[in-house]
Amino acid sequence: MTSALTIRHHDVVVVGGGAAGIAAAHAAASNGADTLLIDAGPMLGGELLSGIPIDGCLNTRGEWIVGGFLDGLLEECKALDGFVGAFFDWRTIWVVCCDPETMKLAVARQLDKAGTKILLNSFVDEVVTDGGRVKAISVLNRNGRTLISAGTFLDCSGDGDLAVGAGAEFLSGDGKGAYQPVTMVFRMAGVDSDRLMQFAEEEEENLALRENPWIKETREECLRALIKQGYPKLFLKADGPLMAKSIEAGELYPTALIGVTPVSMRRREVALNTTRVANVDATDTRALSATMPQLIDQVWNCQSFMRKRVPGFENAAFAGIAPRIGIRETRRIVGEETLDGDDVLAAVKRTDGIAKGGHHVDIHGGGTDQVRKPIRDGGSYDIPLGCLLPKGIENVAVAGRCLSADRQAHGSARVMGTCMAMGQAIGTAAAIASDGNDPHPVLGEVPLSRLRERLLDQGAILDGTH
Amino acid sequence: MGNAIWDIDTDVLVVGGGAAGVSAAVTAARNGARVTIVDGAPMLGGELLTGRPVDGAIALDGRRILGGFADDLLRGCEKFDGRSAVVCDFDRRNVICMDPEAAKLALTELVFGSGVSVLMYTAVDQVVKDDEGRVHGVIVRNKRGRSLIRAKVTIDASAEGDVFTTLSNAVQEDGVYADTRKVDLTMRMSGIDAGALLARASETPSNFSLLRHTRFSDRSDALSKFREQGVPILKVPRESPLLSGAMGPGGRLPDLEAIEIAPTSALRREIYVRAANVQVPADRTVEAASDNYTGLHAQIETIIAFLRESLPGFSEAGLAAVAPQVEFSGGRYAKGDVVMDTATDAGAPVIALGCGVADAEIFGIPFGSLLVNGTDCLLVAGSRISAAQSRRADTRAVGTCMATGQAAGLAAAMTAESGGSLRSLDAHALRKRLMDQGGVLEATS
Repeated sequence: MTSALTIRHHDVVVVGGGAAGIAAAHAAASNGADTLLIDAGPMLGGELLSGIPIDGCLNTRGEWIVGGFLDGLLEECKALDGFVGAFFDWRTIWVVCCDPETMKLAVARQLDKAGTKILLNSFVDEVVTDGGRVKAISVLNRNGRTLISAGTFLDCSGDGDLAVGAGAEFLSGDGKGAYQPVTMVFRMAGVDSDRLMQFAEEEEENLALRENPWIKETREECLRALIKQGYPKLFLKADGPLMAKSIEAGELYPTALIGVTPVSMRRREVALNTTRVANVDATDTRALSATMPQLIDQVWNCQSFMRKRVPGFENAAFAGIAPRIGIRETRRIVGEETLDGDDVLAAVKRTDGIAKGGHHVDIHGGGTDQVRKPIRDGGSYDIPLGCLLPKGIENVAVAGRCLSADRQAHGSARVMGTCMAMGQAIGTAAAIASDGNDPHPVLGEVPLSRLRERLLDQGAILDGTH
Repeated sequence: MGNAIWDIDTDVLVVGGGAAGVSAAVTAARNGARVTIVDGAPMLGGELLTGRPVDGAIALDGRRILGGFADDLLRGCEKFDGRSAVVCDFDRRNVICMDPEAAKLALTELVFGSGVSVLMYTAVDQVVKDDEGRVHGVIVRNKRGRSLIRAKVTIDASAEGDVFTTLSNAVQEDGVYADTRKVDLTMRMSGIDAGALLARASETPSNFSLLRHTRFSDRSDALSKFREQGVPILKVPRESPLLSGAMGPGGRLPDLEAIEIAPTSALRREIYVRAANVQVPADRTVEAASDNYTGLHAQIETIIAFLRESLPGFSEAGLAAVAPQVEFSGGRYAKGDVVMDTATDAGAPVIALGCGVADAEIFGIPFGSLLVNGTDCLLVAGSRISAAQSRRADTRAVGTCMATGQAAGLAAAMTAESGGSLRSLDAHALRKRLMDQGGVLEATS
C-alpha cells in the first residue's frame, strides 16, 4: 500500500518558531504574504519561553538597536502584565526582562494579528531541490507526510536544517568539536528582592560589575546604580568569594556566572542562567537528549546553593525549568557574505545593513571558561542581507544563530534581540519577493532600498546608534 | 543513491514519553531490558507536566489502586520539593495533586537513572512489520537523520496510537470515533486565596460539581469536611449559573465544558486550571491543533480575566504557566485480544487496576487489553488500550496509564529475556513480579 501525501502551497514557509522564526513569519504575513510557520515542537517562542532575558535589543550605551516586531511583542507583554523592564546590568549589557509564561500568550497574539498560519509538532524531513532552488519540503507528523511548496523558504531552525538539506555548506562550532555549552534555564519564586539587593550592596565582591571598558562609571557607581534599579537582578561571579568557596568545596558545580534576572514581580520570580554542558553537538539528538540528567543535577545543585548561601533566596521556591534545553551554538551556514568578528568588535556600519547587533562577543566554554569581548564604544554593528543568504540557493534565507558568520561574530549575533531583527528582515524580504507575482522569486534580487525602506517604515532600527 | 540510516538495536522500544511511556520504559529497564524511548516533544512527561491531578491512583473509599513506578515518581517529586497530596474532590474522586515542575526533574532522574536510552525531539516515521504481523520496531527521524530502531518488543504508549493505527485490523472500528474531538490548553495560576474560594463553594454548591456520589449524601457534613480540607479543588460545570450566564451570545466566555481547578504547589500557592477548549475535526489533528493554537491562547486570557472578576479568591491571582502543549481528548483505541468493558470477566488475570469515573468502583484490567489484535511483539499502554466506550474515560486516567505502562514494561522485559512470544507469557508470573515491585493488583486500604 502506498500512503497518500497531502500537498499545500504558501508564498512563504518559515521553519522554526523561535525568536527569529516568529519575527520572520510575522513580518512576511503582515507584509501580505501567505505565510506558514512550522515548528517541530508543541509551542512557539523558542528560547523566549525559557525565562532568560532578551539580549541584544539595546547596545551597551543604552540605545535601542532593534525595533519593529520586537516593539509589538513587548507591547503585548505589557498589555498582559508580563513585561518587567529593560535594564542595564552594570556589567556589560542591557537586558529586556519578560515573563516567559505571559510571552506564550504574547507570541500567539502577535502571530494571530499578522494572520500567520501555524503548523506545530511537525518535523521537516526532506528538501526538494531543483538546481539552486528549493521547490518544496516534506513535513512529517503523526497525521502522515505533507509536501509543502512555497516561493521562498526561511530557515529559522537555529541549526540551518533546511539550508543544509538543500545542500548549503556550513561550519560547526570551532570546527574541532568544541561547541558553546547547552543550558537549562530555571526559575525560582518568592525571592526577597530587597534582601537580595542589600546583600549585593554589602558583599559586592561577589558581583560581576563593570566588565566593559566603555562603561565610564566607577565600579562603586555601577554598584549604586544597580541597587537603585530596585529589581532582583545581578550576576554572581565564579571568582567572588561566595561562589569560589562553594565550587572549591564541591558544593556548587564549576560555572562562570550565575545570572539572576526578574521574570515576574507579582510572583517574585527570577530566572537563573548558569547550568552548562559544553562541547555537545546539539544536532546529534541522542547526545543532546543525554545532557538532561547532568543539566537537572546542576539545576538542583544551584537552587540549593542559592537558598543556602544567597540572602533573599532563603524562602524562595523552585518554580520550574525551561520547556527545552537551550542551545547556543551548532552550525553556521556559509552565506553570500560572512559576518566578520573584527567588524563586529569595531562596530562597523554599512549602508546595506538590514539588522543590527550589539551584544558583546560572548563565547561560553566548559566550567568557568568564558570569552567576552566588548564592542567598540558600546555601540552596534550592521548585518547585511548577504549573511542571511546561503550561498548558491536563491530562494532560501536564514535568520537566527545559524547565520553566516565567523565564530567570533556568531558569539555576538546569536542572541535573541539580534535574531528577531534578522528574522524581521528576511520575512520582509520574502514578502517583497513574492508580491511581484514572480513564480520564482530570488531573495538576493530584492531591491535593497525597497527592503530597507519597508523595514524602517515598520519600526526596524538600521541607521546610526554607533 | 540513498542516505545512510542509523541502526539502533534494543530489547524494548517505547513510543511516547507520557505517563504510560515513562512508566513502561523505567520498569522494563529495571527488569534488565535494554530500553529506548522516543518522543517528539522536547521534554519527557506528557500530561504529567501540565499539573493535572493524578486520578486512578486512590479510589474514592481511600483504597490504593496504584503503586510501583507511581510511588517512585511521587518520592522523586518530594526530593525536588514537590509535595504531593491526596485530595478528595468531594464529588466522585480522590486524586493525587502534584507539582509538574518537580515532576520534570523527577522523571529525568528516574528515566536516565534506570539506564533508558532517550531520544527526545524525535518523530516516528514508519512502523516496521513482517508478513506474520510481528512488529520489529520503527523508523524515526530527528536532526541526526533517520534511524531504524529494532526491538524485540515495541510498546505503543503514544497519545494517539502512532504505532497500532498503522496496522491492519488493530483499531476498534465501533463507530464511536466521532467526527469532532476536543482540544484543550490548560494553565496554572498563582496567588489564589483558597479559603475565600472554598467558602463561596460551600455557600453556593449549585455552582459547582460537588457531592454527586452517594458517599456525600450527608451534604452539610461533606461540605464542612470540604472546607476543612482547605485545598482549592473544584469543578464549575457549564450548566452552572456562574458559567451559563457568561457563555453564549453576548457572553464574555467562549463555549466551555467546565472550569476545573486543582492544586499543584502549596509553596507557590499555585493551581491547575483546565478550561480553554475547542472542537476540531477528528482527523488531521496536528493541523487542527495548530490552527487553534492562537485561539486557545486567547481563551486563556479571557478565562483569567473572568476568574479574577467572578470568583472569590482570584482577585490577586494571575497566570503562572501555560501547559507545554495542546492536548486532545478522544481518538482511536486499540483492538485488543480483550476489549474491556464494564462486564469484562473478573476472572481474567488482572495486571492493573482502575477506578470508574462515574461509579467510583474499582475494576481490573486484563493483560489481553494490552495485546493488539493481529500482531505480535507489540503492546499498547496508556490511554489507547483496548477498552470499549463504557470504560474509556476510566482507562484514560493518568494513574491508570502509569499502571498499564508498568505492566507493559515488565511484560516486555520478561518476553525479551525469555525470547518467547507475548501471548505465551505466564500472566500469573507477570502478576507476581508486578506485585513484588510495588504494583497494586488488589486494592489495599
